[in-house]
Formats: sequence, structure tokens, C-alpha cells
Amino acid sequence: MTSPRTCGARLAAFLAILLVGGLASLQAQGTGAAPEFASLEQKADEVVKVNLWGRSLEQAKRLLGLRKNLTSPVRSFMNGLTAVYRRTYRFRRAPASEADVEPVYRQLAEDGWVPLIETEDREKPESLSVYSFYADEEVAGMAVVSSDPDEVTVLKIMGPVDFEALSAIGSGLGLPVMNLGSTEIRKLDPATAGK
Amino acid sequence: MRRQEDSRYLEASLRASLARQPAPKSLKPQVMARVRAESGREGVRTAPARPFRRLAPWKSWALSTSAVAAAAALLWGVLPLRDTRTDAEAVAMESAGLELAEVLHMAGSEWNRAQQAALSPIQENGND
Repeated sequence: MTSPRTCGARLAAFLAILLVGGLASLQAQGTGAAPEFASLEQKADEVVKVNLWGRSLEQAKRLLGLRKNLTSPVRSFMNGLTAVYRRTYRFRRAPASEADVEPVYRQLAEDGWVPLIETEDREKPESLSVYSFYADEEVAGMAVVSSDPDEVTVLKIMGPVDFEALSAIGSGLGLPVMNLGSTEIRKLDPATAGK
Repeated sequence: MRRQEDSRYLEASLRASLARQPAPKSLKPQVMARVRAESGREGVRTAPARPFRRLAPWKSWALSTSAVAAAAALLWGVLPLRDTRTDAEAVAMESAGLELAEVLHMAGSEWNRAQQAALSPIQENGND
């Protein structure tokens, strides 16, 4: 026989689990959402947006998975990705200031991203920051913010991040990349593409 | 009067019996039909409908030609659409693949740059 008190405790535990799960899910949705920075977009002369998730990301993974010289860690890292976003804002008329980039850092901090590396050049107004996001004490995403007066780029990669594999990709190993500019050329304004 | 009535009665019964019987070979079909019509029992018989009767050659030719034309139009209309959709999907897939490679490459190179920047003061201090 179970006493009413035991039943109540079980119900409370169940509700608590539901609540925690719901909160975690909400937090994951918040951090996994596409980054939008209206003020930067308004000021920029040129904006590049890349949203890869769901079917488009699966297609991309399948296509890259066909490459012969893809190393195993890179393949594994790539398969674990759940969303990939890129925002690049280019400025020609008025350069980007620190105040313009401030909303980016603020939004990342509000969403629970933790700064991993923050670098700033004292001689030049350039900065580079790498953020990571943790879920269940494991890295569940990374964000990169690089800014200079001409360009601000925000990259957001959701999924378990293998930093060694990422480093290999950055060095041109593991994931050989060809025709990198081709995707961006299509997005540029035809009037400015030749400049 | 009675004799006249008798002759009419005989004529009518003769016609009726003729109409009931199979047509004698000596009588032409038209004559037999007229007899039956006049007897007022069955009227003029028409040929029974034959649903699977053989079509005239020109009709069968027209039907087969139109069927072939419809099939050709269907293939002409549907296959290019399928090709276009496949092409669009291939382009989307290629574009998505390039974008993913591009973003990962950017993130990787920025990660390497950040690491170098973070480590360089330590290395400089170590050299000192």
C-alpha cells in the first residue's frame, strides 16, 4: 500500500522533472535560434546570412560526407551538428564601432553563452571572441564573433563541438574546401559584387 | 357483312401468325418487317445493340492516335518538371554543402587564430 504522502511526493518529483525538462528545452531553443541583430543589419551595407538546420543541414552533411579525404573526427563532428548560422555585416560608408557590436555580446551572454577566448588588438580596432554553450556539462555549441571597422561576423555552431576537428578544418585539413567564394558571390548585390 | 368481317378476321389472324413465326426464306426482311408492323404486335424489329462491336477502321485509328498523343503530352509535361525539380534540389544541396564547408572553415580558422592570440603572450613570456 502506498500512502497518500508517497503519492504526493512522486507527483511532485514528476512535475519537477517536467519543469526542469521544459526549462532546459526552452533554453536550448533560445541558444539554438538563428541570431538576429537588427541594428547591425540596418547599418551594414552588405549582409550575408547562412541558416543551415533541418533538411538543408542534412543535405549539406550528405554532400560533404561524399568527399573522399574527409577524416573520421571531422566526419563525426559534422554529423553531430544540429544547426549552423552565419551573419556577416560589411560596412563601407560608416565603419562599425564597439557600440554597434555590443548587442551581439549582450545577446550571447543573455542566452547563456560562456566566453572561452576573448582577444582584442590594442593597436587596431579588432576583436575576436569564441564562446561556448554547455548542456549537461558538455559543450553543446560554439559561437565566434570577429569584428573590425569594415566587417562584423557572427558564427554559431550548435551540436557537440570537437575543437580538435574544428582546428583541423581551420588548417585546411580534414575537410578540403574548394570554391569557397562561390556561395557568397551569389548573395552579393549585383551592383556591388564587382567592386 | 358477316362474310366481310370474317375475311378481315382471317387476314388479321394470318398476319399475326406470320409475325409470330420465323421469317420464311422466300420473304424479304423488309416485307416481313412491314407484316410485323401492320400486325401491331411487335412493331419493326431493330438490330440489338452490340457494345463490343467492331469499330470502323478510321475510328480505331483516331482513338489510338489520340491515346498516343495524350501519353506523349503527359511525358512531355511531367518528365521535364521532374528534371527541373531534381536540378533545383541538386543546386540547393550543393549550395548548402558549400555554405556548411565555408562556415566550418571560417569557425576553424578563427578558433586557431584565437588560440594563437591567447597563447602568444604566454609563449613570449616563456621566451623572456
